[in-house]
Amino acid sequence: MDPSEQHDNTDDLERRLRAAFTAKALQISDADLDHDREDEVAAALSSQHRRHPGTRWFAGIGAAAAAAAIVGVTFIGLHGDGQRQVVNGLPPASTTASSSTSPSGATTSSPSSSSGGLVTPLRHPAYQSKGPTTTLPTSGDSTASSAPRSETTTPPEATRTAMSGGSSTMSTPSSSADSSMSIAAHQPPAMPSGLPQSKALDDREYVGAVPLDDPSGGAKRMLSMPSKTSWQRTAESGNSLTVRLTYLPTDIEAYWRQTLPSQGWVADGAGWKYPGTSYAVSPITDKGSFTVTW
Amino acid sequence: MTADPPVDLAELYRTHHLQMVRLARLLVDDTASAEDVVQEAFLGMHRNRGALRDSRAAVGYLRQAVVNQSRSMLRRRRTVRAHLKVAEPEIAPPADSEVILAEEHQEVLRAVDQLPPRQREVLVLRYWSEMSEAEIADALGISKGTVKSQASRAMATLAKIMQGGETDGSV
Repeated sequence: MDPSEQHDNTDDLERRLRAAFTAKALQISDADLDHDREDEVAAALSSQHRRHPGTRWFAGIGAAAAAAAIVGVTFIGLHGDGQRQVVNGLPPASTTASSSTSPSGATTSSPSSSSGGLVTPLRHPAYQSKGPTTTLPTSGDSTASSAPRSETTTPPEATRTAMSGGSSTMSTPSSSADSSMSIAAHQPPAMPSGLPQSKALDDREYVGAVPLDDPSGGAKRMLSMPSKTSWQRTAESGNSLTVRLTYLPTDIEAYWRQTLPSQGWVADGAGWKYPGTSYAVSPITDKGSFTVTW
Repeated sequence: MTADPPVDLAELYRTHHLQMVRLARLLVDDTASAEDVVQEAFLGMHRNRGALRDSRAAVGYLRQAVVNQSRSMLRRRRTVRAHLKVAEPEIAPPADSEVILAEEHQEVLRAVDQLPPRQREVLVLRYWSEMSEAEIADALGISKGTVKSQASRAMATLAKIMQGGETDGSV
């Protein structure tokens, strides 16, 4: 084939590609789109957009407060002797009171899991025929990323709203609330005791969070999973559990990237680990399996 | 020197939503998945809006997010199709998705479907989005050289497939 003929063929192929792509793309018109969903997304995007200046304003106050604190610390440093005299003159009770307030966050962390345990049983036709399905909690499953992120300390369930249209891919956590509660515990979220723990698993299909044992023997922990995700146990040892995903309605890796950091997990290569503990999640294999260790 | 205005995602959504759904449809092959992809792309941008400072580059970020989400969607589908036979009927593209397209277009699209995902993305961005090699390289996070080689391989493969299709009718 001479160069000019080859050039003509390429031009023709390019023309055919453009025509085919255009024809296929233009099959979708505005009328074909899910307008309820569109409205909700647009509302979520615009409500957050309006909030943005306010957020900046609060950030400005925070920065000013931080600057004032720095000035104060510097002042104390420069006038330390005088300050010590004042402190020495105070009754001892005042210093005791300030130090006793710090641990209070620890006790507020445990309820985070109970909110995650409120999951309706899955009725997905794809595995109705596979025998009994046990529903486990899915921490953060019922959240939607369209919901405006709360700037207050409202409990997570109060900040969560469901995205319409059953689009499971949109489930993401309201991370600001989750992070403040879960990280304080220095443990993954707790698993409600009334649901199957890792030692109670059998070969059935389970839906929702994957249970983790707690090496300290306290409350059982869990690994959050996207809503409606189902899995089966494939192997179990004293300190690990391997599961195979059997139904995955969304990108689990993206879900974990959005959810786990707010609970205190950190990425470890393609997997996850929980700093200061032995909890870890292996990367997902190409067969849809992964292992959790504790 | 003036600061860039904040990116108005709601306005971006209003003006580019349909176009992005069409782009996603070319990559993931069904409208419902394409809508999921675009919604996730916008909400992803929304979550990271603090990092969005250049409103002029927002469309580029959005397109990149759509391509990345589409790739995730396809990877997820492959995993599900390979291991979860029970879920396959729900995620398979609609059987009549190509019905109203002309035979000539169907032939091209069937050939494109046989390409590796990366080559398909390059072709869609080049011939549907009309992006330059540099823009495609940015969107896909690869070098311009890789874009050029992927496009070249894709065109060669397409030509071979379509020549075969014309002679034996089995594309």
